[in-house]
Amino acid sequence: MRLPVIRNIIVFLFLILLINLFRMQCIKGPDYFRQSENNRIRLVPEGASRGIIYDRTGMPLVRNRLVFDVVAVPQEIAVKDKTSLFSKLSGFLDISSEVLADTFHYNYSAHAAFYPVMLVSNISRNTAFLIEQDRASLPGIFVQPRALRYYLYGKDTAHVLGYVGKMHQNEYERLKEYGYERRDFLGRSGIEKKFDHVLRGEAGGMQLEVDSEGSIIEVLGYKPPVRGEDLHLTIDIGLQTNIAEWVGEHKGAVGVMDAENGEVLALYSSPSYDPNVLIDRKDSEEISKILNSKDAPLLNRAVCGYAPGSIFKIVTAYAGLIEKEIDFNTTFHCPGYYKIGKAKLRCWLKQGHGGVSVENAIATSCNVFFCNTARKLGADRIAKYAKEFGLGRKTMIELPAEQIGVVPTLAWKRSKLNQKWYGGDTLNFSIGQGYLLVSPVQALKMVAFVANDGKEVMPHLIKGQGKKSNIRILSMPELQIIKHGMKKVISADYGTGHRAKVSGVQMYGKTGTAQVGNRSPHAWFTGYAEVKDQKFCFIVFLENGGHGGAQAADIAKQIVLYLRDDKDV
Amino acid sequence: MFNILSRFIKGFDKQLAIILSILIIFGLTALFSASYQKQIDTGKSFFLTQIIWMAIGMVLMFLVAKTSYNSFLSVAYITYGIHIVFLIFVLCMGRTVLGAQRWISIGGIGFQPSESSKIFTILALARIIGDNPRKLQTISGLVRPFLIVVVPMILIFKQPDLGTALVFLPIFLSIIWVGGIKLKYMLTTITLGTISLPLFWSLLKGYQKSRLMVFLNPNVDPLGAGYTINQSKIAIGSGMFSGKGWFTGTQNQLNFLPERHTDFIFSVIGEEGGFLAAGAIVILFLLLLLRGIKIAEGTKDISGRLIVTGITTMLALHAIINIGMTLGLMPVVGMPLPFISYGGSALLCNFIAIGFLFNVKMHRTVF
Repeated sequence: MRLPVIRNIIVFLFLILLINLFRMQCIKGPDYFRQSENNRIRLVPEGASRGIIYDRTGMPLVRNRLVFDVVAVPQEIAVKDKTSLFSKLSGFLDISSEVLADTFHYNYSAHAAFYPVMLVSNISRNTAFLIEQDRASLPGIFVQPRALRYYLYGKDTAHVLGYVGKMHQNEYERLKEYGYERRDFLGRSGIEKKFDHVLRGEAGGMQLEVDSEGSIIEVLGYKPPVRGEDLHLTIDIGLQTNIAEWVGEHKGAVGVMDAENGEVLALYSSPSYDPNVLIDRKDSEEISKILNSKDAPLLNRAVCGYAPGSIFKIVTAYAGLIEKEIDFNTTFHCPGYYKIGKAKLRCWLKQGHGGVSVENAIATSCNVFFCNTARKLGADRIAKYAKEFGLGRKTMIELPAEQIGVVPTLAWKRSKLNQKWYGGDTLNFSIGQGYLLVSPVQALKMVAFVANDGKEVMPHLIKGQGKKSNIRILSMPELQIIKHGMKKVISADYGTGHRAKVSGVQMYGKTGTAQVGNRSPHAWFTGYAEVKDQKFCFIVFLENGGHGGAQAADIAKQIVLYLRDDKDV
Repeated sequence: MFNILSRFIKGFDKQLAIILSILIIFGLTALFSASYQKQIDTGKSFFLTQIIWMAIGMVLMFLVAKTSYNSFLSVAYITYGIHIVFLIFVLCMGRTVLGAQRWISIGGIGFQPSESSKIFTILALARIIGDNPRKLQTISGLVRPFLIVVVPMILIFKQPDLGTALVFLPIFLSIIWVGGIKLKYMLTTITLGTISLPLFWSLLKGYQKSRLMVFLNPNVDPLGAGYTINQSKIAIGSGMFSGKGWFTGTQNQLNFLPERHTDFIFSVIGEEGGFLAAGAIVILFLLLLLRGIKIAEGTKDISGRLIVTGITTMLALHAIINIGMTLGLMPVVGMPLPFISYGGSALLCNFIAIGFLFNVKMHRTVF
């Protein structure tokens, strides 16, 4: 029988436990008892400074600025004097002593008695000095310096960088295993959230043994904090701030990307917010304005799905060409409407475009041409190519909360809406209306396929992540035809985007005007420009911004002008 | 009460029931004191919640004991497979959320499949070896049992939950040992395991390494794990022979001990009850485990004996690792003390484990 071996091992291990227990409690017990009586340990935490985020040229986008917190060390506060202590402290701080006492009790629960409990964060420098001067009358109260995040460009970079905020209890429970402390700040959105583990570094501090007077007897240990890593972004802060200015009061999103390697030079979502207001937690009126605004400034519109309108015709044209339902010479007659059953789907040009080829259909954004193409293709074949262009899935840009959008199919409509797919749905789909939802970043990726003759790039924000892709996913000859059409959008006088024309730069564009209920339509303008043997894709999306060839095209023009004149890479 | 039970239930193990009851009463007493401060601060009654958990645990224990373990064995591969799926699922979800994810939620109730997977791996092992015990004598016959253990182990290690993953190894060794592996193979397995330790070290995550480092030298991290070990040792040691008395442990009541109602509850027992109480707990655990060995010895059926061996080893490890950790003899790995620490998943699983000890005693064939 082999069980006695196991029994012996168990008995042996338990004997070790018992012997050690006996040694600790009965032999060395008095020593430990003394230690427990004098257990006055003080922790002086020293936070790690968070990594700095730089733009592509090495300009810092954030700074860590020094602020002061008021903390209380529970074991050094005499229990009886608590009320008088807090009322004395409240004289310095303009906060009622009841609130101070409540904060103290609320924050105390999680920690040991010598662990500093946060009472008030981010007090003014003056108040800090006043409290320090009066230290003797405030036993157990300390002023601690701490680094606080400051975003140098405020609103302009809010959605890319995100912001940091205090940890909630449930987040702490989940993260404490990874060395997070209750008092730590956590990336709340954007790069700050996605790369929190890289940026945060590792907190350190000192463990001191103090006597009953509070003076130091011995330093029990010191752990130096480890600084967080810096991040270098692909963002060009000059372009980014300019775009913020050009977009102004409009709602929407604008992005610029190096077409060949996917480096995102600018990505702006409007309306924006000032993250410093959220971090400071001082201006509660401004904070509630941000949180409660019906324009949802916290929402990053660059990664949210919207009806793309005619910019989707790039996909429909490609699907028609590659499936050989149309070719370079195919023309359809546009009388100004397309008849389906008894209904008429209007082309945006009332008098009609006459006979149009695919190239001119892109240039003039003729709906009738694409309705004819769509009728031949059917919805599922359009959907197939939409997916090849990267729509309906994440681009994997380094931003949290990226939406995948919707590429509708017959099966999708049946399972999601429990409805039959109608012929009209196919027509709507082909011109970027109906159920289709595309995010501005997806649109950037889509147009990069055209710029790269079918090679895929991954839009990204961290420098050095991008590789030039050599795998051709889409077919070049078909894209060439679409390219010609997109060139005419800008260069031809009848092109819908001719307002964006910049002399000396070869540009390709596509406008989109997506109908949304009774409100003014969404304006889209996408395309790319060849500047000094580089190709830059751009996307301008203005929520309820009217015609894509109007203000959206103007913003695109300013971007290209900037790339031509101001940027030197 | 146990007399009545043993009259009605054939093979009911009265001794096991008595030892378990004493442990539970001890545990609740300690928890009441350990969670008192925290209850005042948070307004949440840990004590009452724990009683509810215990009630659920006991119901599960009785349910497990009722149906013969042979029925459990017949579906052992299926339950094992389901757990592997759970573990993969947890791992995939953990990928999308920052940090570790050990929980999955079914119908709003969260549970940790890594806990229960220990039990169902034991069942799968007992089944495969019990079906053909002679196979274990050959090297090729060892491969499948080894795979059964390694797959959940790696999945749990990846979560990452080092402590739970490591428990699988001794369980495996004890089962194949009792299952009849040749001595030279056993020695080879242990030697190979020892040699591969450095490799294992390189697979550890940063915080896991630092925890092990802290164990070797608590001053490495005076603010983190090292602090906990030091405070726990002071708490236990200062209890001396007879303890400071219930509710009067300064380390405990003054919030010096973090996690004192969960992983470090033994420190509270040591401080407030002294060597008398802490030693009693150690001896109670030992008696419980010896009872397990006794049941195994009395079971002729291979599978039944292996279930009891595996379960006993598992409970032994839970107790030894936890107590060893509070005494500073083991690294801090986050292992609750069976039947005493506050907490859901682990508590329920330990009750289910005991349920299997009762089960085999009741349903084994007597020759």
